[in-house]
Amino acid sequence: MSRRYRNDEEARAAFVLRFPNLADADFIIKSPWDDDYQCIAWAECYTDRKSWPGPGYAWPEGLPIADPPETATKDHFIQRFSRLGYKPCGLDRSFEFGYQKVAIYANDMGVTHMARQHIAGFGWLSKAGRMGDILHRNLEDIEGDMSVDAQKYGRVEIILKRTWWSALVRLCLFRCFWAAFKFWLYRLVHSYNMRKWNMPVEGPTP
Amino acid sequence: MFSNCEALATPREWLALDPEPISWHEDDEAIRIMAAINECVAELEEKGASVATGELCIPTESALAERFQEQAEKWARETAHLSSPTQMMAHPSYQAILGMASEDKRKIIRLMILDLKQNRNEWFWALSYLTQDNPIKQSDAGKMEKMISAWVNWGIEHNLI
Repeated sequence: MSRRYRNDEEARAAFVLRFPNLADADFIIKSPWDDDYQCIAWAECYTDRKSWPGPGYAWPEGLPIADPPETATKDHFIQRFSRLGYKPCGLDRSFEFGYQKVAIYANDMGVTHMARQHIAGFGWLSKAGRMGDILHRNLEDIEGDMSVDAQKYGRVEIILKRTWWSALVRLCLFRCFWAAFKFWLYRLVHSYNMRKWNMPVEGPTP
Repeated sequence: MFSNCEALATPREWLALDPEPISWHEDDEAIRIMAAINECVAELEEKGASVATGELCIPTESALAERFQEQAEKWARETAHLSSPTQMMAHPSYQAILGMASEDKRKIIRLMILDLKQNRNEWFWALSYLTQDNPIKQSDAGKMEKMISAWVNWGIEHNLI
């Protein structure tokens, strides 16, 4: 396990560098930087794996695999999340009482990212690659250029939703609460221990 | 092209020529020597050397490692926020490193495994592509720790690290 916690100021700067829309947005860093899981796994409520419909990634048996990985389409993700009780609901990003939503981002190359709606509608939870996971108010906060070379998430392509009951029976809520508790504990113990971090803040070079 | 190269000599010094008595356009011997030099330079360039500012340069093993390190750091920094393997593999630094394998494939595989072990940079796809092998069990797919261990063990078995 490789987890590193950064103080808010430095970590926020790193996020804003990569997602310029966050500069004027409301967002909270919820977890240390961790390369054991990424956004798709976090949308599934897992923190111990990396999910992707390609070779070398965790993906349920019986679902189609994209090999090579660049052939992955949003349909792979819709099928995966239908197993977790989600159904497509267009682009309706509003909070609906009794429902939880996930958003699929894509650029010109294909699917790039997924964000999960906070169960109480406080915003959207996103795990940004090897960086930490954040709670951001709007889906637009991490949207960016659609071009392949931009190293951005592009735009929200589709939103899926499921009932709270559906999340409860699959133990997703339990896993998320457990992860949130672990992160809270971690922050308590490692607060402001910047020296453990060795990756520079600088983002993409022009 | 090569930032850290070993300067051997200028072509003249390299062939230990005395420049004074040679009239380059009239002397047959000089023409013959120039042809020999051009032939040798072409041969060295095929092997990865380059002629820059009159000096003949050959990439050393440490130069390759430095170039790998430079590109790997750049790649890790610029893709830290990405989750899509497609986006990560399309990054120019990733492609540059794959290109380096044409110079010394075994060395690049070794550097990838060491980088995987030390910095946990995800070279899994590149390693599978270059080695045409995949030591990761299906049940371990997506689990970083186990995937890293599998490749490190593979490297040990193949006397790479």
